[in-house]
Amino acid sequence: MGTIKGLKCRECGRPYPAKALHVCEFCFGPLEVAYDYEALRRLVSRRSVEAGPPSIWRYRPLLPIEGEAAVGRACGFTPLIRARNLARALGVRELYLKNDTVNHPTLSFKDRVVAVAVTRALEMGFQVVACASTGNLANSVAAHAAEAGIKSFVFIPADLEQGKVLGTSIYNPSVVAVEGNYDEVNRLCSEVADKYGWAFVNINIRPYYAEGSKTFGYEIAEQLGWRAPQHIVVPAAGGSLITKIWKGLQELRTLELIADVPTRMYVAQAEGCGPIVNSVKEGSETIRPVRPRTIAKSLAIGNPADGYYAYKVVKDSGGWGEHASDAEIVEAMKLLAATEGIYAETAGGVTLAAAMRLIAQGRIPRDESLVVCITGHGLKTQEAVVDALPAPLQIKPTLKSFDGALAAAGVLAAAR
Amino acid sequence: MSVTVRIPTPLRGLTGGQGEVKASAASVAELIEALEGQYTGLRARLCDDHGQLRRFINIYVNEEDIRFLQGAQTPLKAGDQVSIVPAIAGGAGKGGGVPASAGGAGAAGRLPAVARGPAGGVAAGFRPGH
Repeated sequence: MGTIKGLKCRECGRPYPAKALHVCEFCFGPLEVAYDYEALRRLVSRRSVEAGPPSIWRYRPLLPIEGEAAVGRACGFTPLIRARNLARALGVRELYLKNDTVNHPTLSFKDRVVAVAVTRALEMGFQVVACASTGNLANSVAAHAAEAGIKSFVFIPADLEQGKVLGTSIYNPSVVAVEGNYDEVNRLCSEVADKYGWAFVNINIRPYYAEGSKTFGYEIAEQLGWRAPQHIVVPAAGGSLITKIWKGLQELRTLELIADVPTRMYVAQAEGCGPIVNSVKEGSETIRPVRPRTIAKSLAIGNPADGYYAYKVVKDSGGWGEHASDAEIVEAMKLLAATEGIYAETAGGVTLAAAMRLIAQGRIPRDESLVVCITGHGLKTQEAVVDALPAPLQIKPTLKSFDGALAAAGVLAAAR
Repeated sequence: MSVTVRIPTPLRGLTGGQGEVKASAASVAELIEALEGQYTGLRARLCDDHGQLRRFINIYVNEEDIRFLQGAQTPLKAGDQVSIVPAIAGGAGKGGGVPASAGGAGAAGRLPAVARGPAGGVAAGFRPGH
């Protein structure tokens, strides 16, 4: 059984076997994987991690699988970039970007959770994997299913960005475009999961799936030299990522791989879909669902499954939350690219824009270590910037034409 | 006040298999006591040790989530429809393994009607994953 003790209800603590269960039979709370931390203490050390592969699997004992990775062997261990140009632009001293735009194979942090979920689903004997998705998860499930040689069904809202749809279909899954928003897609998928017996990575396999996100936090700490930063800003859709980054840091401290966790966690959402941030600002642990309206479609979940737990992580860590308007999102995407050469999708714009608000408010001190989480690549959300970028200089194929254009551009640039 | 209460599948073992029952109460808190009187064990499934409504159970009065009304103090009047809906759809009571046949296995039971959240809001009855 490796290091998995079983599943446990997050609300009432009731134990369950490590099967494809996700809801507590007694109190209807969500189930979470429970580990044998005594065994983990013997198995995991800084040295054992450093001796592992340059992927999420260097943390394998901390992940909920019994055997070895079945798919996604090159996933994770993405760059942690010291962002000096962006730091200067923002007026902060120590800024890092955790860059999952280059995660393998589908350029978002979702590869972490899917590599784990598909491996576990195969261990449990499933032959079809599936998901409800705002796009990145669909890409990742389809890709990993292809690698595993098994069938997949991905359910998406019908109005998803073209890049995300094509970036899913290319792997030859069955793609179901539902005429509705993500919340409606997910509701349907619960019924499909019940009826067809497929491994929906974020529904009936969710407890295992979610654990993959801990690696995002583990890597931040390891790449900072085995220390947790003072501030981390994390985007939230369903709210799972921020809770698992926190859990990952706490586990590293429990296992004595890092000394302590002084970290404040900040949740970032779009103004047009910010129910968790609303709760943080109102100090209310009851998440009020919203109807999403934002260009940040990957974060457009109006009723976040882990909203309460995300709220709690923010409160427990002494953090806060901020929104980003659609205009701020695009400006932040451009700023990130122009200062650090990183092209993030809209969620990355949300996170940076929210971080900028928090810095301006003085909530994040300018002289403390800050990590901004960049969760997906901008090629997936090109629609967001199509009207926001300057057109190329158009010239004839002559030196004279170029000289003229350069001069004209110079005049325009000086006038800005 | 006589009200109708829709019981979700996982709790029907406590109500003798009934998916809809009637009870008399002036508030949701009173209703829970009334239901416990008729169906022993129901209160413990709805409320924790401190008497608070469990986080992953939603209760709707005429399709409005009581969390956005007056919580357990939400008043009831004759003819009101109360629905008890687990927040996370699917799962409870299933075997947790792979069904023998790939298609059609596992009767999900009738799901409660989609309930509406606060005005202009998304239906809050089902808590999606991501």
